[in-house]
Amino acid sequence: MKILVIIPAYNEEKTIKEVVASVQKVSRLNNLNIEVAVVNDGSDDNSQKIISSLHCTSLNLPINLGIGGAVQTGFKYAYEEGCDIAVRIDGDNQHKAEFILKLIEPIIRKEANVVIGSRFLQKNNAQISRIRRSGISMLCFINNIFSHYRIKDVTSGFIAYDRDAIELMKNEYPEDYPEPESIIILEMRGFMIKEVQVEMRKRETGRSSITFLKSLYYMIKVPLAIFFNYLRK
Amino acid sequence: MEVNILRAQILIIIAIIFLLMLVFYLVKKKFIKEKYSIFWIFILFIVLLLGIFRSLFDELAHFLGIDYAPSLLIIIVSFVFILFLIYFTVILSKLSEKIKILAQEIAILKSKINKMDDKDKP
Repeated sequence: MKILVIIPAYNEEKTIKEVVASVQKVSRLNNLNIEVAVVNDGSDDNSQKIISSLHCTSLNLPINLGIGGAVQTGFKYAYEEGCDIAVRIDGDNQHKAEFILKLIEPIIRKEANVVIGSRFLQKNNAQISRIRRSGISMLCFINNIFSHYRIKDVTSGFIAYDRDAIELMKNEYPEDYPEPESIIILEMRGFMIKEVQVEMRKRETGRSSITFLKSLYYMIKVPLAIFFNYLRK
Repeated sequence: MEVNILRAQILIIIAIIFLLMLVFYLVKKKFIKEKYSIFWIFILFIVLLLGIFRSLFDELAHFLGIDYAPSLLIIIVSFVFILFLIYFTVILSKLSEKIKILAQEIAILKSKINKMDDKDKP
């Protein structure tokens, strides 16, 4: 079973090395066939240098495409390399690599095509601001109008995909703020989606890519895109 | 009065002819594709006709029940330009999609080439 871990990275010079190492450690300890592919989304810091010094696949985008285009590059690569599972994990060390096991388990047991690492499945320690949390629950509400899965964390970027889902995502993956929209795309094609509880770290370096104006755009664009996806059905 | 209008008419006709020549020049230099020049030539040609036969326009406005002919012009112009702007965003969306695909393919190809190079090295 070949697994590709896709790490989209835009100016993550401080954390990328640690993220790659932690994934490779998980792979070693559990005897998994994991290939790590870092997608460098046209970073203008030292990311590229650092990535090419690591023992991993580096996919260097010549121009900045944004998160959606970067992750999609990973899907295309995974598909071409014949991978059975692709796991997307953030380059800022927010996601804990050991949970990859938990994410791929339902796929291996053929219980799901897509597994989302969720912060809110059990009501516990999710360390995020109230504003962000209410934004997320609003997006969840909108998503759930069009979806019969009651996904609790539609904005999570810690997701595992099986080969069929990889094939769909390599052709159809939204460009910006792709997570909520991609769930709808997957569901409309009849993919089985499952959520599992994961822990996430508080961001160590850098800020969230989502500022006030951007979040306004987020709240408008995502529902609109979800609506149009629904119409395309 | 009539003389003034005639002057304005001549000015407009000259301006239109200038724009037409500009479009022809840009197409010839391949700065505009033939495909996209059709719209401009068509629009400019119509405006030119209306400029030459001014009464045509007044009659059209009168027929549509518009007292003040220039307001008809504004309506038509805004409609046509909004239409064309929408068309532009279609072209832009297609282009950005194509650029995205190219960038992704380049990234994947480059990584494969790098791997092959590493294998060749002893």
